[in-house]
Amino acid sequence: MDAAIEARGLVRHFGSVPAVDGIDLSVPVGSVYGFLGPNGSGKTTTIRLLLGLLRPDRGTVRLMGGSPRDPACLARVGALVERPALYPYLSARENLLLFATLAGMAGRDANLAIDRALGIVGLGAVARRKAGGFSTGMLQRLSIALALLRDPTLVILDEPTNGLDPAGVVDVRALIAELARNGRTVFLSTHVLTEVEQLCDRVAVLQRGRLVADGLTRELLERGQRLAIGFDTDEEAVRAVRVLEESGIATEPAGDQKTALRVSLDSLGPSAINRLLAEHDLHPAELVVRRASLESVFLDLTDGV
Amino acid sequence: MLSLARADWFRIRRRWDVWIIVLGIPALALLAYVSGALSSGNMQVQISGDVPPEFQAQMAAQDAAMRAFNALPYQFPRSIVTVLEGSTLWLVIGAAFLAASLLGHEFSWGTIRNVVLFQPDRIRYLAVRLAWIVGLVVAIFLALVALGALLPAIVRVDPGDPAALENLDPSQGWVPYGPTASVSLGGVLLVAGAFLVSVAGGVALVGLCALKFRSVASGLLGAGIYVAGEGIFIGLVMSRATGDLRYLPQLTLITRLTALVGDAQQAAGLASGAGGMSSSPGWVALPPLVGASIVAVWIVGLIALWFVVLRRADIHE
Repeated sequence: MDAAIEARGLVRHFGSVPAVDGIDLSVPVGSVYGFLGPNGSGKTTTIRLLLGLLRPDRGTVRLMGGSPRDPACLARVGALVERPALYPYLSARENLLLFATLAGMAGRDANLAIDRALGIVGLGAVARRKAGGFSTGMLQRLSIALALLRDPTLVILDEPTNGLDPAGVVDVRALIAELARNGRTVFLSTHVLTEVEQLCDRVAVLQRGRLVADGLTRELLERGQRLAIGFDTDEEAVRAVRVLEESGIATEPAGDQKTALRVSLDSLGPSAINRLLAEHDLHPAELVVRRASLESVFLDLTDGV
Repeated sequence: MLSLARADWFRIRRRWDVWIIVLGIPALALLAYVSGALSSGNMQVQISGDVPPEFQAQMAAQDAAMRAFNALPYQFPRSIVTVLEGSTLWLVIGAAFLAASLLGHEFSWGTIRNVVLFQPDRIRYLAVRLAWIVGLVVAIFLALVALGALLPAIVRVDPGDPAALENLDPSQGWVPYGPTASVSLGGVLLVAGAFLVSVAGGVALVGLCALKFRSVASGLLGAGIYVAGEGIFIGLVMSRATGDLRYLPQLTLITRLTALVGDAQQAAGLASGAGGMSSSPGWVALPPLVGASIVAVWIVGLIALWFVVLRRADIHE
């Protein structure tokens, strides 16, 4: 099994509206996979389809090599989906005990798993307090503990830092990094682009139910890279634009400066572009690779939504 | 299955609303019985003014008959039916709330999502939950039956002179509520069983609505709308239908549940002749066994729909 999650042609409509429209996903085992998209793009619906909570209109899902409705497969998956969903009249510990029992864990095994999960999210001290009295951040931590209860090999986290204070956000990021170090596969759906940039080795971007990008985070960032080229004269800059566009390289002006331009690095690298310009007797005064932020790439891909 | 049952026990043991129903209904039944038993001897034939001696003997006989009649519901085994009849409303409401609450809250709290992630076999999960609902309702029911069986020994009501019952004279205005003949334990248990089946019918209907509409309130409201709709339907059909269409009301759930209890009471000798809706024009009676079979089809069908609904449900919560 190479893929922890394998989805092919996933389609799901709500009424006549396509919430998920033909998604193909392959999440390699051991990767930290970022799942990005603006509000309403279909991220949570996709996660529900992956977990078997929703039935797809079309398409297939394989989770840890099996069906998402197969108890043996789901036993290896921990998931936090959207908002916390816990029994308000039970304590943190009782909530975890209930789900541990539901999963067939009992006695010492269950207690050890509960202690470990509560310890990971830092709720050990309030384990006997009722969940109904917890703050949003504490509920989120308890939900993460629930996701980790069965020591899963695949962890699906939907907006895990929602409602957390800054220290909690740092803790969760450290936890995700720790899970990755331990060889777990993490599927992380989030709005926080820096989180994806810091943690994810692969990323997919969803827009109106369709994947508009899917690949290594590094490659996605490289796709957004621009080469800033400066010339001494306006005339050189105009000639350079003509030469580059004749070679199929898109250019754009660099602000108000008529002597500067920016070009995409999608088709040719910086040195090749420099060679091309030199062949036409154009010698840039400045040649700088501007690294794109994930935010700019994301906004490009999602039309700034 | 055992782990599922244990998990449900963890859920239920801290639910005070559940335990208030389980303990509250027998408590209310106890109070109602004791209050009825203590006041059963209060009614007597008043003799005022100058009554001719020939009427005095007649009135004394009527008084003895009335006392004996009023004491009847508090004699074993009829006392079991007395307790059940006195708590029917509470039992139906309580059982309906139990079903709606134990099924609907999983959706309101969103916990159904985690439940199906930890136990993807929804059929087993629902089967265990159904077993808990049935277990709790049966526990309440058995507590009521036990109260009915034990209370006559604790709260004694003088049975008076049973022979005096023969002197009950409807022309004097003291029309007996029901038959006065002695009732067997088997007959009483038949009636009790009919009560339990009626409650099961209510539970099946409310449970389906709670699962379909995904909340406690919507479940109860949905069931209420069905009951009102059935009443309107029957009203329309009974006043207009002719031929075989007159049997349509006999196929509806609430009508059949009511008729089932009536049939059982009649079979046990606890009711005389037709009563309630069965005395309405346009009513066509079904043989009791046919009626009971229709009830069985309804209950089995509704419960089967629970499983179909949950199995096919998308979990948006």
